[in-house]
Amino acid sequence: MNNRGQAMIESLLLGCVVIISLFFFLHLALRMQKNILLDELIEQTLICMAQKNPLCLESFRQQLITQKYQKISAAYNQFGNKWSLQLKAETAFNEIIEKESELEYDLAFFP
Amino acid sequence: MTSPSFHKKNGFTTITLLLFLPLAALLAFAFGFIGYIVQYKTKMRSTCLNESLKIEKNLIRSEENLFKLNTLARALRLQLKLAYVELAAALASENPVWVAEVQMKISQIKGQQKNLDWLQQNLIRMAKIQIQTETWLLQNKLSQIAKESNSIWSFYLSSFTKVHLTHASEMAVIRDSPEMGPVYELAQDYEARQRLAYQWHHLFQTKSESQTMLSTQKEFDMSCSVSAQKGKTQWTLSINVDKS
Repeated sequence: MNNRGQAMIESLLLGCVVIISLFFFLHLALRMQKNILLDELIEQTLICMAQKNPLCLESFRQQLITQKYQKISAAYNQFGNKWSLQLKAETAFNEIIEKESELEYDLAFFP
Repeated sequence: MTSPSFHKKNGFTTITLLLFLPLAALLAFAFGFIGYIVQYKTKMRSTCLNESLKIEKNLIRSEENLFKLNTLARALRLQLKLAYVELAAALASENPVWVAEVQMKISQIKGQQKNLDWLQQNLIRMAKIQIQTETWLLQNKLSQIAKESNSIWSFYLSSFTKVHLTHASEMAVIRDSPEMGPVYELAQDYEARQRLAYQWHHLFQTKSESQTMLSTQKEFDMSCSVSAQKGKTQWTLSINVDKS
């Protein structure tokens, strides 16, 4: 009987450890997924800017809002053939994300 | 000596652990799959844009090389006009030596125009071959990238990618006269004719033997195109990426 009780306590403890690890793993995986998707969204926006579309930044903001980002601060710059985008936003878990990405296409051509 | 209750403990813990394993595996699987789709899209898009820009620039270079010969074409045309005026004068003066000299000069100029015409035709032909080869190589490269990406998930997914060349760029030049060694200029519709565009259709679905309960099928189209506009001193290239 004692052994059975001990096994139950041990497995409960182990269960807790497993559940915590699992939540940690889930959180990490979700964070990485969000990061990949955010990088893709930023690249899409930079390509959109290279296409001289004036609505890129607004569309970018809208997509971030759809993905539950808050306190979004996004700015872009263009220096010659380089387009850069700086982003600062807060996730639904109050994590602050800061990103800066750059894209370069040589679109002015002197033969 | 191990008691039977000790064995029971072990089994209980293992089963508890095993319960969470499928969930962890599912998470890893979902994470890997999103990574695959994003990587596939990014690689196809960046290759298409970068290589198309290179092809477009080579096409412009070929056109500009052809236009560089226009100075010579105009000079020869002027020389021929002057020679004909001189011939009229020689004929009016009834001087057979002068007439013969001028006729020789005219045939020399015409010979030079013929050479120039051969050079121009050759440049156009070479440029066409180069554009066709590069366009075909890029289509092949895109198909190869798709094939490599698809093979990573081949144990679980049946993937299919078809790359289409929706618009092939061509040399958009016109000659100003049907004569030998003409002056070449850009055609009115050069922007549309020089445009290079590709489209790829990607379809994937779960293999029936690996997935029977949650079968998935998804398809999407993506396209990339490059076009160019001539300015006063430079060319401006435009890129366009679309997905549906």
